[in-house]
Amino acid sequence: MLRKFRSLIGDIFRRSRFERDMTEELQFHLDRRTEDLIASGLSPEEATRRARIEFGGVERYREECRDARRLQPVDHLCRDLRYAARMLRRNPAFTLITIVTLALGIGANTAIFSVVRGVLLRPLPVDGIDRLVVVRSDLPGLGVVDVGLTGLSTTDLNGRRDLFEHFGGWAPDSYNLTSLNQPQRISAAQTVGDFFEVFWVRAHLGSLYTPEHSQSGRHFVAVLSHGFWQRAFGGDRGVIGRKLELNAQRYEILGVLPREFRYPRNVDIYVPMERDTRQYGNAMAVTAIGQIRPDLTTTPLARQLETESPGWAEKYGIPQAFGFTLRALPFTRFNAGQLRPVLLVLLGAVGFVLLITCVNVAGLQLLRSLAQQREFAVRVALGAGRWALVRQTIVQSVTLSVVGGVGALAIGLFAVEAVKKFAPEKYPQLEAVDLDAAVLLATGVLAIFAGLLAGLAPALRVMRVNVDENLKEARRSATTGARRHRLLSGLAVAQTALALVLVTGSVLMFRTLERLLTSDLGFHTNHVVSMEITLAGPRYARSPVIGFIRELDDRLERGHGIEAAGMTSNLPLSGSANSSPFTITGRPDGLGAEQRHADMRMVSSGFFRAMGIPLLRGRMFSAADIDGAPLVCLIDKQLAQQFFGNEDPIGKEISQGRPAIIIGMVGSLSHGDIGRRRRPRSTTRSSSIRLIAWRS
Amino acid sequence: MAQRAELLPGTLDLLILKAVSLGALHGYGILLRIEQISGGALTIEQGALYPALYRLERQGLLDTEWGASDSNRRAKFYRLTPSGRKRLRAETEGWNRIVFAMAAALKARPEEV
Repeated sequence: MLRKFRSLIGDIFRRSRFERDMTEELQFHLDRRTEDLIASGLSPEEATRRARIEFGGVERYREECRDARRLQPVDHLCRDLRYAARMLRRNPAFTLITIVTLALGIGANTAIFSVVRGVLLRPLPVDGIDRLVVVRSDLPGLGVVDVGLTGLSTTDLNGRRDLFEHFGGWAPDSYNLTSLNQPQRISAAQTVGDFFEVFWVRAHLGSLYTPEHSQSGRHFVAVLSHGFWQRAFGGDRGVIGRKLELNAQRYEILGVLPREFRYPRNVDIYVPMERDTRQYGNAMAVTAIGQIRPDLTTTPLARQLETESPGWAEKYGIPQAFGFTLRALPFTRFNAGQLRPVLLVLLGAVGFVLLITCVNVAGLQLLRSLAQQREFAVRVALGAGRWALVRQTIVQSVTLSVVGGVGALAIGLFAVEAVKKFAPEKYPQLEAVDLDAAVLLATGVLAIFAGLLAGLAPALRVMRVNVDENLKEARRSATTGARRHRLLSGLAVAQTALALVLVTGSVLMFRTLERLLTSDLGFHTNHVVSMEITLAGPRYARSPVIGFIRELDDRLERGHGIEAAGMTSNLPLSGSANSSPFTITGRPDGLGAEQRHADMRMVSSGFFRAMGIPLLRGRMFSAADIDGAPLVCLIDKQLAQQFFGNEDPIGKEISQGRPAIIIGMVGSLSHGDIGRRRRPRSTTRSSSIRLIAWRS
Repeated sequence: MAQRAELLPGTLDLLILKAVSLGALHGYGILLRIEQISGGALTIEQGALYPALYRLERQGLLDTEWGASDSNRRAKFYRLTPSGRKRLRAETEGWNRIVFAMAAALKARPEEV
């Protein structure tokens, strides 16, 4: 065994010696045979001829000798590669065109696959990310679907060890950070339950807080994201135990997260959500994520949660009529959101592009192999096996596609940079896109696959090389011409068919995009700009806030080039919604007197004008509505239709925490995601304003 | 011209081993030895000898060495290894059994069945 191995290794490294020895040995045989034949009375010429005939095809036996030494695979590959390189160098134009074609075809796939991988397959560098599920709630009875859980129900699910190893969640928040040199706004995640455990994340520095820190009073602790720690503290290891002033409350820094952990995206700081607050108990704002038990999968889990939903609804006092349902779906799928269908379509499209590329390259190679017919025929006549020629054709094709694959990586790198640079803020998921080892591997596999595919047709052609005809150099007969023609026109048909599919797909996608762009959002999107400020915490007591806002509003309205300005707590399409229950005074409705849901946002009177939202009935807010006056609100058309029907809503009182009198009805807004069902909403006047929009 | 027979598959290896067992030979010498010991009755295409030799060498049944031929040219000589000798013995026995069995079978008459 060892001896065999050594001789094999020796032969691989002393390849040329092996060939030389073999040549010498066979030549020795032929020479000796010739001598013997001459001695038996033949003329030298005749003897040489006879010796060759008796020996048989030299090339064939040389090949068999190599086979016998089991050097074949390595040997053949090296030889075929050398041959391919020679052929390709000899036809630079052909080589360049095929390589560029392949690079583009494969590169499109590399680019899209890296996005698919970053968004759909592995958005976080977490092992076992496929074991994470997101639980959402649907309240179809209210026309509300796909919203988060409350902090309370997240904590309850964290207690379900029969379903989850760990369960937790987060809700977005933002703070004014005032204890550092300059006041700044930072974005935060309020977490509930075993949030960090769910992602198997450990502190990079210090420690992480636990679910117990949700208790009121204990909740003034914070964990920093790695990026924020670098940015705000320059990576100072002494930050642990220091205090941060967030909205004028002092939070103790417990730890720093590792660099790789970036979920949710763009979050600077993590704080526990305080228990026993309205937000904790009522707002369905928590994105709840669970690490599923190893003996469970998503489908039975989803079924189990669905079965339990009525029980949960009863526990939380949600009327049965709302049809409260808990729904579980894979985390990766949830995280990808609307990008998922788009990416899948794109993946299909680039797959077709690659197919077309292969067909193109196959056609090019086929044309060229026709020019090589005679060469092939000569080699077959000399005893080269057809299989060897087929192999050579395929090696040549794969060589082309692998070089093309290298070009594809360059294209992929460029595309990934472009995606990161131009990704809309709405899709922070795209930040995870990278050209990693998996993408590299996929590109390699794809390149080889493309090479094999594109080499198939020329290889088939080689199988059928007609030795006689080609050697006789006869005019190409009608039959070969026809056959050749058939193969080429077959390729052309395939190409046209694929292109047709692609064009149809593109047109459909374009139409969809067009519809999304022109869909009526209920407000103007042109010439509207927005900015965000936070005036929260004890420092901004009620009256200074009102004063501040009034002044800001005034100054903006008078500002140069500004047509209208207004403020709101949640900007439409910003993704943040504040869905909570409300009641209509004097209408128990038999629905447990509670739990009608609507998104609520607080706005200034200029908001509607700035956003171009029409007032349909009643009146706008006026100066008299501020401070001390009874709280008033506007509702949108959809809410009016859903809960008041033909009744006139003006003058009625609704309450989302505090009662407010309806003074008017405005046009409905598209909420959150374009293309989805609108949710009814009411709008009240209040002090804690976070967003401003103005029209210029 | 003596009547010639095609080689049965697998017999070339045995013939080579037998030829080499009588002393180290180069490829052409092996061919001549086979023709000689078979009385010229067995023919092979001469080139076919070499893949067989290379295979036997890989199997460790033959050893090779470069030396000078009788005409003083460099030539590759094949020699039987101990395991080659063992193989030759085993194959010879197997061959004899088959020949005996075949001969007996072909001699069978109707009344013996």
